Amino acid sequence: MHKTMQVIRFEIVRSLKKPSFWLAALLVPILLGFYIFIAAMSGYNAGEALEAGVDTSDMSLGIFDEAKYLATKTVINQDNKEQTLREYKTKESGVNDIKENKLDVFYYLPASFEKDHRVEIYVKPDSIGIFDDYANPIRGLLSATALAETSEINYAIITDAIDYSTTTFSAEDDHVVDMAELVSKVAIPAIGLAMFYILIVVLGNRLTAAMVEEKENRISELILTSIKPIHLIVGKIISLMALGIIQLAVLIIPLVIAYFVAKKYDAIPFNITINFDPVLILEYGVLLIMSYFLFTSLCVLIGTLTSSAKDANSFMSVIIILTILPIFFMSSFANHDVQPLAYFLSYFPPSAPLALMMRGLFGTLPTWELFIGIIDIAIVGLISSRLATYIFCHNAIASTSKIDFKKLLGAPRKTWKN
Amino acid sequence: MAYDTGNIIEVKNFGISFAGKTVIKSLSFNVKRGETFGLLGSNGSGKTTTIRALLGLYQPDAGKLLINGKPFDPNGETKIGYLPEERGLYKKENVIDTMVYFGRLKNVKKPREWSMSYLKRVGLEDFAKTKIEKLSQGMQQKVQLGITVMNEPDILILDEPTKGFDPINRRLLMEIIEELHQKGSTIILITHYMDEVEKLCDHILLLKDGVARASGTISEVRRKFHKNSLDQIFIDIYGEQEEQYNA
Repeated sequence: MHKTMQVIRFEIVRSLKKPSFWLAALLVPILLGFYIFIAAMSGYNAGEALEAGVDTSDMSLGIFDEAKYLATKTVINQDNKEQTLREYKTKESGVNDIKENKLDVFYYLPASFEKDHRVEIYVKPDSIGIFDDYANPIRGLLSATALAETSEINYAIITDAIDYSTTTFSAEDDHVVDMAELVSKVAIPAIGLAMFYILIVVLGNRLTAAMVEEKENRISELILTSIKPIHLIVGKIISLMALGIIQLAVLIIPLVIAYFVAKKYDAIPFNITINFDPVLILEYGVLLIMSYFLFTSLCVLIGTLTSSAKDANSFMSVIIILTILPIFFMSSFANHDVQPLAYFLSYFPPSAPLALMMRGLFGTLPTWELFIGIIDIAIVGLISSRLATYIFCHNAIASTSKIDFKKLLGAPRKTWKN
Repeated sequence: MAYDTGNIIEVKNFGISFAGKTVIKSLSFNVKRGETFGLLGSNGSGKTTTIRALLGLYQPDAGKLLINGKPFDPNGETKIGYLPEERGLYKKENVIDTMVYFGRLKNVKKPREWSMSYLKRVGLEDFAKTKIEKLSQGMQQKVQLGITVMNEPDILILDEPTKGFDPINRRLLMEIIEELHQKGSTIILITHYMDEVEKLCDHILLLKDGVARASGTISEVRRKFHKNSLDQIFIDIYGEQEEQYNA
């Protein structure tokens, strides 16, 4: 135990001392933060531009309603003041005033307006005529006229202004599921899914590299006279798990802080309060840990079977593809009737973690299936780590040769006892 | 029951094969406590395989390999120092952290103090915080040697220890072997250099194709082959092999 602790300490400390670990750990939160910042800034800038871009309230507006459609020529401008448009008798006179800078905006409703639904807008020279804001006054006039011609409800239906309110009942106790509850149910599997995906992408290669390091650097013989292979590999597995948890903490802590800060300042998007259900957190927390354990075990197994990081990486690609397989078949999961493929991927060990989390996300994963999935993942993880340990104990110094399976399988009587 | 036969290492009827090819055939020998034992043989004769099996790195197909009457156990009472033929270090780590790590695994008391004192002795104190990959080959050898002997081993096993060593490191190695020998350590030396064998070894064992061809003190082996030079005996034994290959 003392020596296993030394391995854990050595592996964790040296990883934490590497800038590459922190770069990898912080890259995702930094990119996420950067994305949110850019998105927020873009939203702000867009809003600013909309507000400050084209303000028609101080502009002189003119109109020629050849179609004689409009019921009024008075609009409520952006300063909430009434503004009556100057009426012209011909299109040409209006356009001429625009050209001569006597008028800022001129609207022309041709005689065929009711047939071809087209309004011509002319703006003074050098204006940025592409802005839709110039259409706002005439849009207001048209809406007011249309509303005067029909009932308010018909107008709402035609303009798609109906508020469609959906109510969902809980299958368990028939209560009405509100938006907060729905988001809360989706948030935990979604967070678990994102965390697991980030872990496999960031830590996948590191896991196998750590396992082949002794073989690749010809340290095995030197070290294995000081520590039993079983203690070395257990130390490595535990340290890799711990590094994954540190990585998760680096991801989660800023998010949790951001959530509570946003909540305090009432800045949660759509004003949704997420009620984190402790039972759900526990269930998906266990699923996440077991999933990472399975992934670590598979990486460790590959590390024990190969003699260099280069060899290991080719096998790792296969494991990563199998692990993220459910993402390629998203349509099989986004359905109330779970497809056979989704069931298969939920119980096929490498793809089970993401498949289960995706089903949780789409609300098609009953609790009993989640438990079976966790047990399935845990069993395969244990078998993989046990097999990896066994192979490592018999193949620890094969730095150049390929594994002798015949020898390996025929060696149960041997020295290393676990 | 106390185990005291005077033999610190006992190898009895040891046999091992890889992929159907027999590497060692029923090999037996003993190494006495405190002696310097030379394990000799040409490339592929089974010297390293025997040591790896003795240290539990390979599993024997037959026979027993015992250290102080028991199979080797890294957690056992007998302290082992092993400088393997294939040797390397954690390239991305610095010297002192690597030495301290190995010191802790070898249950060395105050591993940092021991390591700093050793680095000072071998002129590497200024490189304690340097990454191993930045050291020259000769400097890395000094670090490997320090790791091998830092637990003051009861048995020091050196597999081709001077391979690639410059004359300065070779002299350092000889000094360390002598010091440990004086303190009562048992030394097992695997080498091709007969001058080292004649200078250091009390007993030798010559392996050929996994079979012991000669064993005993250097004088006994000389008498058996009616030769004065170990070099000549080596050539006589392994020359046959060369001729067989050439034929």
